[in-house]
Amino acid sequence: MNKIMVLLFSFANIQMVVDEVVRSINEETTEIHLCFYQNKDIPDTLSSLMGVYLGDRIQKDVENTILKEYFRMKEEITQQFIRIAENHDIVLKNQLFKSYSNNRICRYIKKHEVNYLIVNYFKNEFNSQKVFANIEKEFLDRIAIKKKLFKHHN
Amino acid sequence: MKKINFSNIILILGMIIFISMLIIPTPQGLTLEGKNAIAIFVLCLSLWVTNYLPLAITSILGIALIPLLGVLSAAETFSIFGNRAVFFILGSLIIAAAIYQTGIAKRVSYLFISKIDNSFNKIIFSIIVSSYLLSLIMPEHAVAAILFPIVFELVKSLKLTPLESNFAKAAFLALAWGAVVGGITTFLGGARNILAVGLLQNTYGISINFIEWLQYSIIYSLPLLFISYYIIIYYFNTKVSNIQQRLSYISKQYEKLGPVKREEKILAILFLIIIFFWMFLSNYIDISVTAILGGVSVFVFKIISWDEIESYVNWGIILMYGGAIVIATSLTSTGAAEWMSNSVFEILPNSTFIILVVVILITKLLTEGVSNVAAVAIILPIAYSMGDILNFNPVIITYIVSLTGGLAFCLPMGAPPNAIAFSSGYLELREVIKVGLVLNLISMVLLYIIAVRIWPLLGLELFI
Repeated sequence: MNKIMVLLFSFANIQMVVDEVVRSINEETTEIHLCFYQNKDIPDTLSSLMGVYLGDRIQKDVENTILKEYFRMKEEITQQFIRIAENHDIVLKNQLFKSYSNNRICRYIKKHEVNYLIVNYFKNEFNSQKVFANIEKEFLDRIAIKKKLFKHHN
Repeated sequence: MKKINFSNIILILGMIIFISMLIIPTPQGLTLEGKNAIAIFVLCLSLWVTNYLPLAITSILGIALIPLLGVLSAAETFSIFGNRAVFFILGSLIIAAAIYQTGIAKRVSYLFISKIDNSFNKIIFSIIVSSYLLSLIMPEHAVAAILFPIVFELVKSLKLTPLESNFAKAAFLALAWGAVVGGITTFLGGARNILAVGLLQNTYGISINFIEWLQYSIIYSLPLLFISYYIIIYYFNTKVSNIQQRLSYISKQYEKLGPVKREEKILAILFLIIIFFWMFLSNYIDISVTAILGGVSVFVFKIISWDEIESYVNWGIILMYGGAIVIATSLTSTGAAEWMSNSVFEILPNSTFIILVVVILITKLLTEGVSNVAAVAIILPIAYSMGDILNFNPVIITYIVSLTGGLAFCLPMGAPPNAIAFSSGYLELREVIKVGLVLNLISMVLLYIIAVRIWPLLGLELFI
């Protein structure tokens, strides 16, 4: 039994992740867990930068545009994975992490007996919801399964 | 190894210099008031750079410290805050809020972008030009906020993906750079322009009116707009199939806006009248008075309500600009700026070329890292004093510092349109820094050539 978990901290260069998932699917693959890490607000750094000049309502308009767009992208990516799962006769499970908790993610991996973790991460404090000083040490090293990190830098 | 936090280092250094300046004996050639003015200046500089306090709060801290440390009397300090530039900004922010509220700017942008042809170059051109033109009549940050959802819709309809798509990168960069370049062209695009003119008046009693500013700034901003456009299409050149079909979505969005509303029509007429007064009647009616009356008129015609104004305008900007003008004026009026520039000349040779390059370069470096208002307020007083030694025309110094101070092309913290463009998630910082540095370099060379060769031909002499 082979279970793949895709953890998306970012939508940057998403096609690389999709390609990796398709490559990793074999006859033993039974489940794909598509997990999004997405806050309900935009990152603080960006919010404070814009807040210097913009009035509350204009800032909210900008923030809503960003959030709306990111949730739309989430839907598009989900649809893409639904098609992949259907094509390979695999079960697709969706999970949204609204706030970051290393333990929670680890528990999820354990509970669902995930074998392979694919992470997409963009180190960018202006539009990433979660920014690690070192994602390998702070997050990935604590997870003792096969994993692949797609890390995009600013 | 623990990462060094440069913000904390700058802040601590600022504090140490502030306290040291207050304790040490007054250096030769400097008055006690001047010494304390420099201490306040350094403290505010460190706070502006690090953002330890909100920018507006740093400004009012400066206003409080100036009378407290005996730099200027309380009456003088507060009267400088009441500068006409501050009231111009106040009026223009209210008018800009009305433009935002009615949706007239959005309509014009949709119209412009929906009429474009089916090529990458033309789409990018339409975005950068829309952004530039709107920034001539309203603050650049509001322009970026208006165009942001439109560019997002464009990107969405073309099915472009974050970081991968050169088309999307070009579109968001065109949005930011168009607003930044447009923002230096009039008093309305960037309030730092009127702040610089206010400082010129406080220091030399010389005034620059709306049309004078425009006639010299546009000679610079217009070529810069085209250079920005060519840099974007050169670096991010790409192709997207079925553009025309996909862009029909934008046309539909424009149609959805429906017929022009009554408020939009009234605002358009009012705005044309205000612009006419600013451009042709400023010798009779001060531009600040026109701005305030314009602000009042949008209420009279019920285009916007007070509640809406409160939600659209960040009043902290007024404090920020007012504080910046007070701190900068305290440096010139106490002789502190002159003392600092004399110190600079002990290191640098008395050369026109070197002084201009140093002023442009330092302003540019500063404006990429801190608010451009702060950059102008920090550099201008010292640049005036340096210019005095070489008999530079202070009007040219005002243009050079203000125009350079408005042009941050690389970093999100340099200009609000950059921050908004970066928030899309489509831009990569390293890439933007790379192309932004090229544009920064060209913009500095172009400004030098225009200041030395072109402006004198139009009557703006380099020396007095």
